[in-house]
Amino acid sequence: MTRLALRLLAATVAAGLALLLGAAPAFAHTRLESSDPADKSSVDTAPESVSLTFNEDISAEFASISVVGPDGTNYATGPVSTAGGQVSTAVAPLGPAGAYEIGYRVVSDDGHPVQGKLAFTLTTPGPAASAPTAAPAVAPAAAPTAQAGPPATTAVDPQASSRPSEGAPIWPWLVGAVILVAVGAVVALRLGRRS
Amino acid sequence: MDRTATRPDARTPALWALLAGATTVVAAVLAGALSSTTLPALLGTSLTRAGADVAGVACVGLALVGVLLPVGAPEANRVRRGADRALVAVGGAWLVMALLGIAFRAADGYGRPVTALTGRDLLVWATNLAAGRGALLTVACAAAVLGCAIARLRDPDLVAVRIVLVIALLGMLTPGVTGHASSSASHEVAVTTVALHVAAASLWVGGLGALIVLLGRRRELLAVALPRFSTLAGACLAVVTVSGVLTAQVRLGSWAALFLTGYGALVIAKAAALVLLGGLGLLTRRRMAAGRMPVLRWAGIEIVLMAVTLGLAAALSQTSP
Repeated sequence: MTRLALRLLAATVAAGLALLLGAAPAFAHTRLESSDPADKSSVDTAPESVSLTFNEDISAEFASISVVGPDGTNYATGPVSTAGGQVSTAVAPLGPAGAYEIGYRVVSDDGHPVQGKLAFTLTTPGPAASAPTAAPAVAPAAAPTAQAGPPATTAVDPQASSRPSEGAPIWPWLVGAVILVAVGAVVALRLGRRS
Repeated sequence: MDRTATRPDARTPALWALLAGATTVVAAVLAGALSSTTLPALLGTSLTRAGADVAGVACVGLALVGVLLPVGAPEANRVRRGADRALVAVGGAWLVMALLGIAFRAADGYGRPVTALTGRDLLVWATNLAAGRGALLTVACAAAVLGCAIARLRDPDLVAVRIVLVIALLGMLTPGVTGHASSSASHEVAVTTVALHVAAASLWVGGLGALIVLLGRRRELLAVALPRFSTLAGACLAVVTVSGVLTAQVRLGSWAALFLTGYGALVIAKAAALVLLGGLGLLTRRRMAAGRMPVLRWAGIEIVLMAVTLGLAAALSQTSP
């Protein structure tokens, strides 16, 4: 048995070496091609929606986008919608100026999840900024952002990463199915032995 | 040392087959470690994918031996019956792996643990994504193989073994056809070549493995079946090579990518294994032509090489150039 164990070990090592030799960090199958707002860009008016464009069609069922501001709140609201390779979500009125992070997670048609982060900077405070920061003297001649509206409700509901599942878990059924198949095979083999 | 008097000892070839299966799974898990995010997701998807591949290839091989064996000889019928019994066990394993594979991949897609999935989640995943629909088809084929094998145990004339072979091949094709190939640039060419590649590789690997396990110690039957298989294996090697090159070319797009990316490295490793396997096959043919039956050990080495290749193939299915 030791010879067999040694062979098994040798084969495993060989296989592992073969794989590790050329291994590189996994590449995303689905690639992000562009986004709006673009990565590492600066915008002075708070966008009302965020959209990401991928190189292949994306299913809305498994797509999720979050837009987290410098205050830690997720401003993405509502369901994610898709049009071919473009995935978008509405964004609540943004808050303070600063760095915003767009996080995304989609599943490509071959079943592999792809996730990543983008960043953009909001140069002037958005409509929902609670602190009445004075209009910056260096503000470019952009359309004055209306400070109207109710004060910021920082309790924007964090968008659910995917629709929460409704219904009972299915794993007991899976276990049952596996047991059923195993029992069925054993019974068939035993019955077959007699004939 | 003469054990062929009563029942040919199938332990050693079976152990080789088991070793090969284990190698495949380990190779796939190792490769998956480089691409997946969380450990449970990695284990679940890699193990079920590799396990389903091994079981599916084994089903193809067992059915192929049934086709290659001479008709009518009583010992051949005994071996066929053994193959049918093995098909029930391996077909059942394939069905289980395919079912669990859907669960783990759906969990990976949703980003939730398997225990939190609901029936609706599985249904949505399996119907919305091409990969899900392909996985459902694999489950259906595995179930059909199991059912046909059970029917054949009752009466071998109920289902012709070549039908089982076709169903098993179809079940092997669907993961590859709904995988990367379906999303790459030259869609139609990619899908066709991947289908041919998987079919030829399954026949070759499965056939060799089943021949070893079922006929390893039965010289007379081996003398009939092996030349037939050798001819088929030659054709399979040609198809695997050509389709493999075409697929790699479509995915990589340039020579630089071949040498610079992880995907390219995996392709090179598979190509090296292919050259080795082809060489071993050539040597085997020479020995047969010289009238000597090939040594079982060589076939064992071939199987291990093929198992490594299967693991590489599973790894390829997880990465992208």
